[in-house]
Amino acid sequence: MGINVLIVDDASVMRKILGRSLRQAKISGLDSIVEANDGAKALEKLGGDSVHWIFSDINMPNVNGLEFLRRLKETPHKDLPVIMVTTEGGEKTVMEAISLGAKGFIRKPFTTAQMEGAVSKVMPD
Amino acid sequence: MLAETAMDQQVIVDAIRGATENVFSTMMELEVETLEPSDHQEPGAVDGVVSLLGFTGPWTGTGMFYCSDDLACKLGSALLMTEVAEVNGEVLNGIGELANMILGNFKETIETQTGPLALTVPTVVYGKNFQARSPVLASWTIVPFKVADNTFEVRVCMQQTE
Repeated sequence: MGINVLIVDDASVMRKILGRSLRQAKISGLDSIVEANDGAKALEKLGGDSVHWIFSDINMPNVNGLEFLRRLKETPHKDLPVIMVTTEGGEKTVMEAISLGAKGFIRKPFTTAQMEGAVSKVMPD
Repeated sequence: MLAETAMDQQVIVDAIRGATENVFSTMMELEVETLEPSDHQEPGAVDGVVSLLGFTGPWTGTGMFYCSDDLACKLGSALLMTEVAEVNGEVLNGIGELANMILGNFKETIETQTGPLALTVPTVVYGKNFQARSPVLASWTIVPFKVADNTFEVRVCMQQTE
């Protein structure tokens, strides 16, 4: 079965860059990429699409990445692995995201190799 | 109300330079050359694309990325890996995200001096003969860069919040 990924970022260009980086990275089984422009839309997508991994920005309007993590915990999808992809890499933000269930962090800007490294640390083979 | 305390300009210049070089080399594999920085109380009008983000916290201010529309297309092409002939919504989104990454990285560095700061989502403006101003009283630190035979600027003004 292929892996379906949800990318959550308010910047359409970053969703494109992240999608491209995932396809370029040596991730076996990657099937489809679904996009959402904020945490609220991401929760709606989870209600309809089959998703295995989530990559989320933090600093977004409407429902930001940390609030998305909080709300995700209240859904049947609470065990989906979430990697935060963000410029907000300060210790306080990292600790808060991890306490809310995030499995990893990728700091913007990132290379494809850094993407591969982050994915291999937190995602199952 | 803002206190009259401003930060050492060299600290800001070094943080801007480091953030900009990192973003350009990592995301677009482009080397940038840092040109002579300056400071201005009220920078003049510009033509092109400007992306603005606000800082708030123990220090308050604004960060700005400015480039010509020609360079905006080139940077958009590099980010999107597709040829872009004119400024469109995707180019403007790209410049907004570029500013977000540069000023986000700048924020991470400068927080060692200021304490934790919050950064707004970017606003992007495109046009001719317009000025961007900040209500913060400090002057703008302007760091110009050269890339692909074009120049762009990263500007920051920030002041300690009383």
